[in-house]
Amino acid sequence: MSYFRITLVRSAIGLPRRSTDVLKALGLKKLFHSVSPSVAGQIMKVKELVQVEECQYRLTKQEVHLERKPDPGYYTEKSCSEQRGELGGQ
Amino acid sequence: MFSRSALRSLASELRWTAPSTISSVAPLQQRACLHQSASLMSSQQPQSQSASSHPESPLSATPRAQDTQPTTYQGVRASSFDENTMTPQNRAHVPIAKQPVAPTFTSPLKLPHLAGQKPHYVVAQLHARPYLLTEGDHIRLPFLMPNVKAGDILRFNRASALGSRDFTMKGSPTIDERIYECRVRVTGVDAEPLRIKEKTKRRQRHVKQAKSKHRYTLMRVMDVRVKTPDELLAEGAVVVEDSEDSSVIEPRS
Repeated sequence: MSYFRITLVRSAIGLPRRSTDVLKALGLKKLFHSVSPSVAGQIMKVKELVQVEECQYRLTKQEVHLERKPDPGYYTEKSCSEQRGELGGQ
Repeated sequence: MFSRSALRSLASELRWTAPSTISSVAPLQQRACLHQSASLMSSQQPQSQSASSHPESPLSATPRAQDTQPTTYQGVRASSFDENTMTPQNRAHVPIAKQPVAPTFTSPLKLPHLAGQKPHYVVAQLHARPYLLTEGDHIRLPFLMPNVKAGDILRFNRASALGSRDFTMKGSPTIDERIYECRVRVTGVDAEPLRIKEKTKRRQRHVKQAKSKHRYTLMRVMDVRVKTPDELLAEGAVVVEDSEDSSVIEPRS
């Protein structure tokens, strides 16, 4: 099962009512749509406004968030309890 | 008693004599870069021995995109949630998509020059925010770092730049963590003075007081060190001769 991952990259402000309605019908809060002729036609109507990728499964909201989240940039090399244990061993 | 200028000239002589002997050994057409994967190690072992006979040869690199991992959603799915939400303990816990790209060098390689010139600075990226650090610095982070206690030793493994007075190595966007060490000790927690903000609403006499008192993590930079090429080779880095007369270093993580 493959899905379209649709992202709105430009606004429909100032465009005909038709394209605004198509965007509303696509329901872009949903983000993932199964590949079907009706969805493909809707995408064609607003192809200038959206960015489409094809992917194999739906990512959860948390996974999408983790994609964007930057790396923390650090890791704990030695905790203070480990150091205390080393001192006690000596 | 030496004057300062005499000392400086002496130091500059020392600084320049050591790398010049290194750079004059071999021609500069060689290219090197650090691979992400350690799976090729066993096949590259004989080459490492041949390379260790002349490790002083200047190393330089081709710009190389991170072509080892295709950008599919498979990698995202493979890394489970507990790994992503907790603080990563070592390199294996960080998903490959978020690991730093292998460093790229232009010829001649300046790594011996950079490693020889102390003190070093590093621009460490914590949660994608840059912090310019040198050894001995005291930092107050603008947030309270979770799951750390005073006395913990942290390693910063995302650096966008690494340098000394005369040389800088820039990452794209980050430098491979295996060619430097940046250690930091957590010294405690700081708190700001209590702030009170009066919140009012229209036509109501009640005044609400909103209080806030943030806490911040304090740290001290223990060391910022750039590994020399010899050290990298001793740790298992391999100089690989490519077909197009270029060499590649593969560090072992």
